[in-house]
Amino acid sequence: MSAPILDVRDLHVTYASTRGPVPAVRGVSFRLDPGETLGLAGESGSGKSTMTMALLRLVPAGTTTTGSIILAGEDVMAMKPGRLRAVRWAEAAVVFQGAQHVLNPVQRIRRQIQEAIDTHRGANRVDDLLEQVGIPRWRAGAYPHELSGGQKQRVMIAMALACDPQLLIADEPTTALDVMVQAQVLQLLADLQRDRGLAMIFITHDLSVLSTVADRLAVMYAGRLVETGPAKEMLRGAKHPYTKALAAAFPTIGDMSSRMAPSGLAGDPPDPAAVPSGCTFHPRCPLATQECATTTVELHEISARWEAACLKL
Amino acid sequence: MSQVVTTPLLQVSGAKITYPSRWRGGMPLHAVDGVDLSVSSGEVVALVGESGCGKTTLARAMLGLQPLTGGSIAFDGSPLPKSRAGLRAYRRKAQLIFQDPSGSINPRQSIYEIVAEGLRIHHERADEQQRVADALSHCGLRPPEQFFLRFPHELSGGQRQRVVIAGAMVLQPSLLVADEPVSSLDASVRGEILQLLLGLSRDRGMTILVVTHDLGVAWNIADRVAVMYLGRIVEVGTTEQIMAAPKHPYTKALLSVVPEHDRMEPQILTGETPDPTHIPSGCRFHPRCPLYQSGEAERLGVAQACTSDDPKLVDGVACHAAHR
Repeated sequence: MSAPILDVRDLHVTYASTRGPVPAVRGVSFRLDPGETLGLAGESGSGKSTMTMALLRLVPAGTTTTGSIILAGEDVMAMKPGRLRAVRWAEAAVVFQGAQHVLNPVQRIRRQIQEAIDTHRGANRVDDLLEQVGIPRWRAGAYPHELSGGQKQRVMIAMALACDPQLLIADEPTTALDVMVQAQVLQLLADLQRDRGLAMIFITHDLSVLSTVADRLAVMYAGRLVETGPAKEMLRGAKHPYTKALAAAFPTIGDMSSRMAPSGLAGDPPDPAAVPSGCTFHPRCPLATQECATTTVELHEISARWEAACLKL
Repeated sequence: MSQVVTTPLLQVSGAKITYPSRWRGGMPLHAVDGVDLSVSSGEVVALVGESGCGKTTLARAMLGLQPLTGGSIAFDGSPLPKSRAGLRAYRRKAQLIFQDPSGSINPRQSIYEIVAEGLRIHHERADEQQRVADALSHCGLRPPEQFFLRFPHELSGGQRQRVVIAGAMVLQPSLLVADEPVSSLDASVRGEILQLLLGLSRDRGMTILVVTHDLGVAWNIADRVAVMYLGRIVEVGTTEQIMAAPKHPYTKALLSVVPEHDRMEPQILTGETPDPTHIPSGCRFHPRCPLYQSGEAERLGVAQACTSDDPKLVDGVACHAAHR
């Protein structure tokens, strides 16, 4: 096995708030090999964005991060600010959701991409980057408002590629887009990943999107991973009741069991400041019994490269 | 489910909505360009299409929020009123739910005031408290009294959407138009809200028009689906028909890119919905149509028609190749 591009061990992220510390990520471990795509799924508030931002130490001041993060053989937690700035973008870049709010509305996109290249001393040319993401060169002089939503998201991807990173973190990159445009952007990400051997962390709450892009899935609930395994198999036959509920929320069209039968999950995700005892999912879990409320459960192997955190498995 | 059709509850005939250009000499924008659609009482119809296809404009017109520039819309057999008072009375019977619950409710009003607002506007003071309580508990906010004095920020996204639906239901309308009711909600909450809408249709005979870009929503709750492209309905039929055997190439393409729909080879259309100020000649879909592009239309001998004749909606589909 080659050296992983990313190795995360027992990551904890705790926000400071006026009500006291809020543990958003509570012990996450995973590894990502070069060229691999990890799909990270979970509801809002599950800690998935916090966790990935913490990988590059992009968390607000006052936040406590513990654990170990090894990015391309280097300890992120021990990096000095200068080194950290060099690593962000050059080794690992982020594509945020809602491109329209990230781009500067009064600057031409050429200048914005150039800025990303210059700041991080990349060697690419704006025109080449645009071409790689499927925007014609002559559009480089456009302002963001002259582009459609899908094109803006492509510009964001071009900026992320400015310094040839080895790891791309895509945080809900297609959430605000239409189905057809979403398919185009997913196709682009899959192509880029194949051509450049990019490792990717793809964050979303829509499990069905991950079936087209991810090799492996990790499902997060209340700051912890509750299931991780091979993407295709997990989408077809999730083991953890939470993953099952997430997968059922987006029906497979043509599957008669979901026809006129939308499937949801009662209750709301727990407040990170007051997570339930035992298995944090037990108040919403259809299978929960007495022992779930008291026994803490860790990820354990259920088959090769497939782990779940549930007492019932 | 399909019933014996008498007069449809809502009948849209040849509806057109054209916005004039903002500058002199500019081209007018044809947001809705000749739509025929009927919705029977008790039916759930999904209006599906990409952003910019005119689906929200059409939905707004159905509520009298947007005047038509051509054609007509009839509710319960009579045309939509034009006067202020007439429209006010109409909106008692037809209610709208917006996409984002945090944007459509006043953050400084209590849940009780939000839900009671409709009753107050329509001067229905009798049993106000009881009716608010009923609406809340019908929408799954139980016990309702516990929610009366709470504020939107104290609720979760799913609960806020329930409050919005309760606010619409309190007047006991006969038509509910839901514009992307779940697209801003989390995966687990989405199913809960769809169950609520489906329950309203089943238990109370509510007629629902749900506007969405998500075919999964249609599969989950709709009896019929109407697919809209560039201001026109290009295919309409029962959900099973449309999803199992789509006839229009646009519907086929839309279905093929739904993730996990592995029975179909994904057909990713290039480009985005074209500009409604420049509607292509002939069939408006031909510049992006896989049938036309691949030469299949030529083989079928309809390529000429694709570029010159605007196809009519016949047997639920507007496509020259399908009509052959």
